[in-house]
Amino acid sequence: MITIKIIIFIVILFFFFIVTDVDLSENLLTENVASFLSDAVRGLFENGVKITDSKIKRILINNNPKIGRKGAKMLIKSLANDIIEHLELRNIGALIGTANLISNYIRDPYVSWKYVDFGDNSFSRVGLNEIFWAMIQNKRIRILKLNENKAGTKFCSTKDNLLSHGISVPQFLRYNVVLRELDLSYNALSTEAGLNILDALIDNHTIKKISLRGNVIEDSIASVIPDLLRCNNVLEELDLGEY
Amino acid sequence: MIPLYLSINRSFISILSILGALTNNFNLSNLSLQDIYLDEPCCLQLCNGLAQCNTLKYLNLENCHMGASGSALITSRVRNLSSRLQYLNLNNNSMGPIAAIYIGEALLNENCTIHTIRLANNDLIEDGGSFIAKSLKGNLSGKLYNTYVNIYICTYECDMMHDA
Repeated sequence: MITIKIIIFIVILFFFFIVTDVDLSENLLTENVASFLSDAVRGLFENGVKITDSKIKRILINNNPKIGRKGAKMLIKSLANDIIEHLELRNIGALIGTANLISNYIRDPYVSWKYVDFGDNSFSRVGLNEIFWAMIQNKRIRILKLNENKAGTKFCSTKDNLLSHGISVPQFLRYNVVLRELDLSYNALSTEAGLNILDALIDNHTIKKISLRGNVIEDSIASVIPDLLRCNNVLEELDLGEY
Repeated sequence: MIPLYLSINRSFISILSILGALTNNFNLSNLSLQDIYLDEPCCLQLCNGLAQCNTLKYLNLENCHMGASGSALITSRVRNLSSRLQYLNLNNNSMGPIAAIYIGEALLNENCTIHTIRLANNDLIEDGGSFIAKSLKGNLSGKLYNTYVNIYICTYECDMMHDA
């Protein structure tokens, strides 16, 4: 009994004294560094057999645009595991392909991301739609930041309808009950998109903070706000700022 | 008075003398010098001070403008401190890739206890970044070896206790 207790204590110590939190933002990192990092995050292998997982829980690689699309894909593949909870990959030069990859991992219940920031990349409308369709099935992510991803005015409008399935963001807002914060600022969303989002937000009772700042949303959106305020008593912060 | 936590977040003219006083301290566990301009003499003095702080666990030198030479001095000392430091914040210091070599060596240390490392905005570029990434993997392998050894010794000791 004592043996087991002491072994458990040492295992706890082992987990405590290992790098769990890494910040390498704004360091002009390149694709090669991304490959080394992804190798480090995959864990330790010996003769092709995995000996142990990486213990990194929180990783920040923001503002390293030279990583590029290939580096971004490599990073996403390795960072999708059951250990990493906090992931910030803002402005790393990721494109639609990375967004598709992210959507696959968002659907995977094994991946334990809770805080995700993919802002300031170039996912575009197609990539963002993929991510939001995947988010319907996700039960872990609490904070999702997808600001400045060049979504465009078509995104989330009626033109963005997918056959009979509807529009991705409103559908996600109706069915996902886990997310607490959503950032879609500076994505060139239209007034119609804003109306669709706020209309769907009436049925969502989990999101506390939503940002639509810096989009092309006109004053006519005010018509939905009274209903939203009357029916939704969970929302704490709604950012509709212009700049 | 035995200070355990020292946090100076404003610019002092006499920061050099404060850093000099660290050499006489043997109990400090948290040291935060965030946003203080540390030139090369200050970094050198801080190095001497850090060498004496055997109990230091938390070191925050964010936004100290140390530059390549100053941060090389500090990180070379961090290499020796890695067996007791748990938190290391060197954000916004324009360290350059040379300092990354020392940090990498600190992470590769078998007895490294660092669990949080912050190196944002330090111009590490490809060389420095690669070195840190590789040492993160080395950090994992070193720990694994260490744990195996610890568990073995522990089980042995427990068996001895059980017999007694």
